[in-house]
Amino acid sequence: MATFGIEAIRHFGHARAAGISTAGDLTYTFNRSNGFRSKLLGSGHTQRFYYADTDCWETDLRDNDQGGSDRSFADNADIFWIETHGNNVNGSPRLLYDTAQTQWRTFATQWQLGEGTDAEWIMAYSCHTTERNKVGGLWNIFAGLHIYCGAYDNMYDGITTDECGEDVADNLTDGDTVAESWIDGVSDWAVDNHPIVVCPANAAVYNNGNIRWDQSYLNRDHFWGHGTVLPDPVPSQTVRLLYRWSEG
Amino acid sequence: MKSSNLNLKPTLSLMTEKDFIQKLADTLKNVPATVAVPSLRQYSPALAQGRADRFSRLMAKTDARFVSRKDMLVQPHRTLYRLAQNARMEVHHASGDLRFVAGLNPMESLFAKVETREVLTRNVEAAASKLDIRQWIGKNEELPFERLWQIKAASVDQKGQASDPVLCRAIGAYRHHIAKIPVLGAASAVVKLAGNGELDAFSVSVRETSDQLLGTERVLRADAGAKQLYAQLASLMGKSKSAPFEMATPQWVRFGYLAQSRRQAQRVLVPVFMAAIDIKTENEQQGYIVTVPATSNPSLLPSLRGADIPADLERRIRK
Repeated sequence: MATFGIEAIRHFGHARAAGISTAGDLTYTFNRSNGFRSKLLGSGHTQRFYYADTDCWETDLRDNDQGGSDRSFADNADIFWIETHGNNVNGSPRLLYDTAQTQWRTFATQWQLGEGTDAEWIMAYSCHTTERNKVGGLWNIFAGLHIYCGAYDNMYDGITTDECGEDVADNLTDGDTVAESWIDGVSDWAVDNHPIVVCPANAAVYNNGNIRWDQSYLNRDHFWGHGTVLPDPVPSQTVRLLYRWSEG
Repeated sequence: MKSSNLNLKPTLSLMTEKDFIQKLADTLKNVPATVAVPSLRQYSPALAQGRADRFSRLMAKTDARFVSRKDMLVQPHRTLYRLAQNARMEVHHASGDLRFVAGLNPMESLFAKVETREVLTRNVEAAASKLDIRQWIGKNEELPFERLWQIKAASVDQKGQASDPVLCRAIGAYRHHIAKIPVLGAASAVVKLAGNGELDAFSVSVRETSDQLLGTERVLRADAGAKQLYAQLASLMGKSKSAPFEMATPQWVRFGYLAQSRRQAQRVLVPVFMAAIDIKTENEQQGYIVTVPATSNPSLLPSLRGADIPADLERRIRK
C-alpha cells in the first residue's frame, strides 16, 4: 500500500502582516485535506505526515541539495498533497507559506522529486502553478517523480469545491489512473478550476512524435494497491513532458 | 455558469468599494422579490441504493455491463458497485448522487481530431438525450445544457516547443432549474464522451425535491446581497496593503438555490447569492467562490464555515 503526506494552509495572516503577500485566507482547505486523508486512511494507506498552517515549511519541498529537507518530507511519501496559494515563474511553480522557516515561498526551481524510492506523485491544490504554454518550466522537478498534478490558472476555494480531496482519493482507490483521479476529482464541471497533469516521457513513448499515449504515465500509472504502477522514470532519458488538462 | 470576465473593474484608480459593490449588484439581474423554498427528499442508504437500482435498470437497456453481476460494497458515504469490464457505479447516501464510470484509461479512445465546439456540443446533447437525463427531474423543473468542457493533451520539449493538442474527452454539463431558478453548485448532470462516441462517464447530481414546500421567503435586494458578498470576500482577504476591491475581478455573480456537495445531507434548497471572484496580484493568484444567504430567515442559513484540522494532529517542533 502507499504512503502519503499532506500540507494544508488555510490562514495567511502572518504573511500579510509581514508584508510578504496580500493573499487572503481560505475557507475549505481542511475540508479537502481532511477528506483526502480520511479516504486514504480508510483504504489502508499510511500517513507519513499531515501539517497545517504554520507547521508547513518551504524546506519540505526544497531539495536536500538546495538546503531543504525534501527527503524527509515531500520526497518521503508516495503521494504528497499540498494546498496553499500559488503562482508560477515561466511555468515553474511557486507556493506561499504562512511562516518563513527560511523563506516564505518555495520555488520549484529548487525541487528534485523522486530521487529516492518515494515521491511518485505531487498534487498541488493551488492557483496557477504552471502555464499551459510553459509546461517545460516543470522539467527539473522530475528526478524520478511520475506525475505533477497542478493547475494552469485558478483553482477555486468555495462551497462547491469542498469535497475535492475526497473525490480525488475516491478516484485513486476506486482504480482510476492518478492523472484521471486529479482532473476528475478537482472538477465539479461548474466552476473554472484549471487542472493539469504533467509527466516525463522517454524516447520510446515519444516515438519520434507519434506519441504512444497508451504507454505514458498519464494512461497507465495508478495508485499503489489499486492498479498498475509504472517503474520510476530515468531523468536522463526524458525527451518530452506530456501534459493533459481540462478546459471550459 | 460559463466563465466570462464581467469587466466589473474599470480603471483601478477610479474604483471605490461602493462602486465595486454597486457593480456586483447591477450584475444580479432578475432577482425575484420572493422565492419558494422546496424541501428535499431524504435518503437512507437503502433508499439511495433503490435509486441506484433504478439507474442500473435504465442503463441496462443499452449497456450489458449493467445486466451482469454487480459486486456491491457499502461504504460510510456511498455504495459502490463494481461492474464488468472494470466499470463502476456509485450512489451517495446523503444526496442520492449517481455516477457511472466506464473504466477507460484516460488516453484511450482519443478523438481522431480536435472537433469544433459545435460538433462536440451536438454529440454530448445526443448522448444526453439517449440517456434520457431529464427523467431525473421533477415537475416544473428543467435541466438545460450549461457548458461544454474538453480534456486535451499535448507534449513539450525542453526548449518549450509544444506539439499540437489531441482531444481526449468531451464533457457536457447540465444545470438543474426549479421554477426557472438555477440550483447552484456542481454540475447537475454530466455526460462525458470518448473519441468514438463511447460513454466514458455519466453522473446525476440533482437534488430530488419532495412534494412539499417549506414556504415562501422574501429575497434580499440585489444591493444587499452584493454588500454581503463583498463583506465575506473582505473578511477572507484580511488586513493587507491593498483593499479587496483593488485586486478583485468577479467572473460571475448569481442568484439561485444552493445544492451542497454530494456527501452532505440537505433538507431544503436554500436561496443564495454566489459569486466567483479572481484576485490577481503580482505575487499570488487566488480564486474564490463566495456564497451568502439570499434571505434573512436564520433557519435557512447554510453552513458556510470550513472544517478545522483534525483534533489528533500533532504540532510540529521547530528546531
